[in-house]
Amino acid sequence: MYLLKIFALLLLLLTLSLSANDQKLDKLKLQLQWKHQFEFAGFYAAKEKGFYKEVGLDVEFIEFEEKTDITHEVLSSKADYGLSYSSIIADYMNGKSIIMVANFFKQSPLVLVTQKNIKTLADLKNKKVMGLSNSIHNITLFGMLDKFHVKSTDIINIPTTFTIDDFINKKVDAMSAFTTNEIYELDKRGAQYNLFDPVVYGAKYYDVNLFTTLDESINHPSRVQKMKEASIRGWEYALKNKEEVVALILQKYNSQNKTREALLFEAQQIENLILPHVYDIGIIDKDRVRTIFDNFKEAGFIKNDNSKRVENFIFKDKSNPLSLSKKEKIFILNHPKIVLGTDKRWEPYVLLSDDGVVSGYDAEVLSLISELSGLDFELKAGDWAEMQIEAKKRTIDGLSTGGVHKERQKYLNFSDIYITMQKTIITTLDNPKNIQNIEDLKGHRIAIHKSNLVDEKIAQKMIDSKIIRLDNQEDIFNYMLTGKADAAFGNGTTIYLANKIGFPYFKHTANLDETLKLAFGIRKDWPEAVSIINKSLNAIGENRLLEIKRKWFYLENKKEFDYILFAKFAGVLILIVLIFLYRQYNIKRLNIELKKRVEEELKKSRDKDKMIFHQSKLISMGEMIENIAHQWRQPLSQINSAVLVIDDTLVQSGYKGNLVEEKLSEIESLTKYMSNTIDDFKDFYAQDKLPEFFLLRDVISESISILGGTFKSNSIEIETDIEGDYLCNGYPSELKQVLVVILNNAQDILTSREVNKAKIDVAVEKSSKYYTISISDNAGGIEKEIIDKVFDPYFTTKHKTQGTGLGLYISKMIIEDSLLGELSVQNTENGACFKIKLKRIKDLDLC
Amino acid sequence: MNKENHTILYIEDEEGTRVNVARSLRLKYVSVLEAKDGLEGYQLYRENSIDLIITDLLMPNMGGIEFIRKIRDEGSEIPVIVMSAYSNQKKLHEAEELNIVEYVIKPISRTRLKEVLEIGFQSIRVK
Repeated sequence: MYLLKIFALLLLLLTLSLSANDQKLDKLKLQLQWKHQFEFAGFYAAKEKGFYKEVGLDVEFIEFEEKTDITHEVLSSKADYGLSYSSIIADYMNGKSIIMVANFFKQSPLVLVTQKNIKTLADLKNKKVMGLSNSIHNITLFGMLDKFHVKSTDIINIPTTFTIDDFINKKVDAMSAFTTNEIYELDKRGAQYNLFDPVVYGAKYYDVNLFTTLDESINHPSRVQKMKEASIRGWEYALKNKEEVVALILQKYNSQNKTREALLFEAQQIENLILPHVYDIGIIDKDRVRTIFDNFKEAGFIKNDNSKRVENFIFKDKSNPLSLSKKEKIFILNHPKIVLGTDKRWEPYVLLSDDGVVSGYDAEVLSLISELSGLDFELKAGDWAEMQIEAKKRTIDGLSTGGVHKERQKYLNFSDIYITMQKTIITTLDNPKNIQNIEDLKGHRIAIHKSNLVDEKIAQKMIDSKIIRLDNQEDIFNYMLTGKADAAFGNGTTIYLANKIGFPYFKHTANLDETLKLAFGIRKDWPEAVSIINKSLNAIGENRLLEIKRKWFYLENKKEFDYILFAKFAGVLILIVLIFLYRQYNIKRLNIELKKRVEEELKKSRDKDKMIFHQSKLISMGEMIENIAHQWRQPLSQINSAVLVIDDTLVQSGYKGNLVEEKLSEIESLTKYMSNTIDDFKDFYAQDKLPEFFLLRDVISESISILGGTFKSNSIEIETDIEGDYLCNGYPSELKQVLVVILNNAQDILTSREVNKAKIDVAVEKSSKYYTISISDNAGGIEKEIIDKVFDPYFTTKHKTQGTGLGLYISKMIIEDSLLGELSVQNTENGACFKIKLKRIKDLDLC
Repeated sequence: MNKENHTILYIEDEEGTRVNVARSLRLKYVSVLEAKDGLEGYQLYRENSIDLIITDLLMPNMGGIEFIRKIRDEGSEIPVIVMSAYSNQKKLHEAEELNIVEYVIKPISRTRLKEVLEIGFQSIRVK
């Protein structure tokens, strides 16, 4: 690390020594993208205020002439550097050897103005529009028109006259304009117009991009860097001293004869395009460049889809990969170590060994930041409340493992988020209060960590719960285990910690809306540290952070690699290859066969996954119902105990007669009935293991009775027509599941379409080989376009929260794979009709 | 009405049910001790001479299974009736292993309560 600092220091000295040397200035030509105006104020300022000279450069500006191809000018060495539109991204992708050095305008000033009578862009069809040729520079405007379904062929393009006269004289209905120039002219001449800005419609195009040749970036990387830094400095100066720079333009660069007012107007508009309070001037966001590239590609401006990488288009200073500013570099030299406080009880963010060495997620992220930036950190693990006090007193420099909160923002600046964790409700494994979501916490006791501000924030919303504030996590666990608290809030680490300290009795019961977002907080007078951390985090990238998260939190990849399947698959492959080589069959057939096998194996694996998902859902449904059963029976039990007391009391006082006894018995039989209902549900979700003989009639009537209550409340009439004792062999609970899915879908569609006299018919027909169960509704049927898709996985017409889109898919799988039957659907006169065809077994003597 | 000379320990965490059932039991038996969980029940078991125990299963601090196991480990053969809202097989089997008289699922009717109490006391007489 010291070497790096010495190197940085040397670099700094070198830069300083160069600036003192005005003997040998490098002469460079900068091709502008338009005539002289405030658009290039930063570059004028860099030249006139001597910023270029300080770094050994002498820059000459070349004004734009009509039909200048800027990229070509630079590539043919008529200019060394160029300023251009986003179109240079397309040029690069189309094979031009250029590199982007800096971006100045975060938005393009190009807008569309229309006559007052054109209220929406859809009105522009067959209208005259000036300056809207189908060129790459107009992509923002066409992108916007596309949102109104107006294509380039729908408008009449009038070549631009470079004045606004035709618009004012209403010879054209609309024209392209720059917010920086024409708008000022229009306003000044009192013209009436409507303005349509592509930015409003989501356009994100860079403008005024500094670029040069790839050769220049390879042969003179430090010159590129100097050109970039001095230009940025020029822009900083120009925006802070608009009047002065406008005066300078008037005096030296006013080839367009603009007025002082026009230039000041332009300056103001340009500040809104550079957004110096939002972005570091000159910075290039590679994601944004990629978005622009994608847009060009979609619009057909990228000719050949070669594999050029967006990353390589952006110039990087090799000696300064993070593009640290001078201020930041000096900060690093002046602050050899930043001490951050952290919570010693927060594994695995922080792991404290016996000899005081701190490791864990935070330590690893911080060491990566050090590696990249040269800024060193020390983690001080202690009591979290004390650490916060120390940070306030500045005996330490800030906090790690903290969330961004108003209270902490009073004394700390926060970096970008370096880890996000879902907040959850934690209960003991048996979850005695049966807490399933945040609503269930009402009336219960929640234990939270005293100094955990996220928990506090959630707790403050829980006015109907009792909040118990405890000193540490162990106490929270103890309170829950001893029944002094019913739930706590947690995140990814809580169960990890519980298991680690020997309390493997807890589970995540439900997810909360909140996520825990952690950022590094640094004392307020050190903003440089925050920007260094942010630049480093950005360079580390989300994927790398996720990798580290997985490592420390033992989070598994969601989808595990199926090694057995892979081995089988590989075996099949090798076998096939050997056989085919041996027989010397032609390659083409081999390929087709292989492809088919791959697809089959993949499909099998996918189907297996879905089935497992379905089964695990059923198991958890079973568990849930068991919990509901328990919860349900408690009040029933209390009702019966009240009957007990009433009975006793009436007997004692001699008031008890037959009628009272009859009514008390009625209450008892009702509570028994209610208690049994829940068992019916439970049986439905039971996972039968062995195939058995069953009567279709029984399964159908049980399925209907599961949904009976809701049919009734939705006024749906259900008619069954099953004559015989149709006997089947298989898994009755699976068939029941399928029937419930289909009946439920019918019910949903009948209610959502508000069908009058809603009705579902269930019938069974017998043929020589099959029984066919048909379930038909009168809801009008399935739309033609989607009827082929209803059995596809993840296809759903229901709102996301109501359906997974797996119901019918799984049903089909159950019927076809497990019951060896067929499931199909067709539209009838009145609605949809689902048919389940099951193999008929030989009639057995049932007696 | 003459009360039967028995002491019953009744363990139930839901206060509403516990108060009602205990009140009714007291009309018939000389002594009915109430506990709100296994831990409290165990305390009362240690301090008193008890003839019959009625217990719930799922309770804070110490559940029914744990409580029965504890007293069985100490050699107690007091008849135990389990009254639980759980109807799942696993809980039932666990309880049966611990030599209980009867496993009844809540809600329980007056007749059923009378029945299991009789069975419970019968098992004392048999011994």
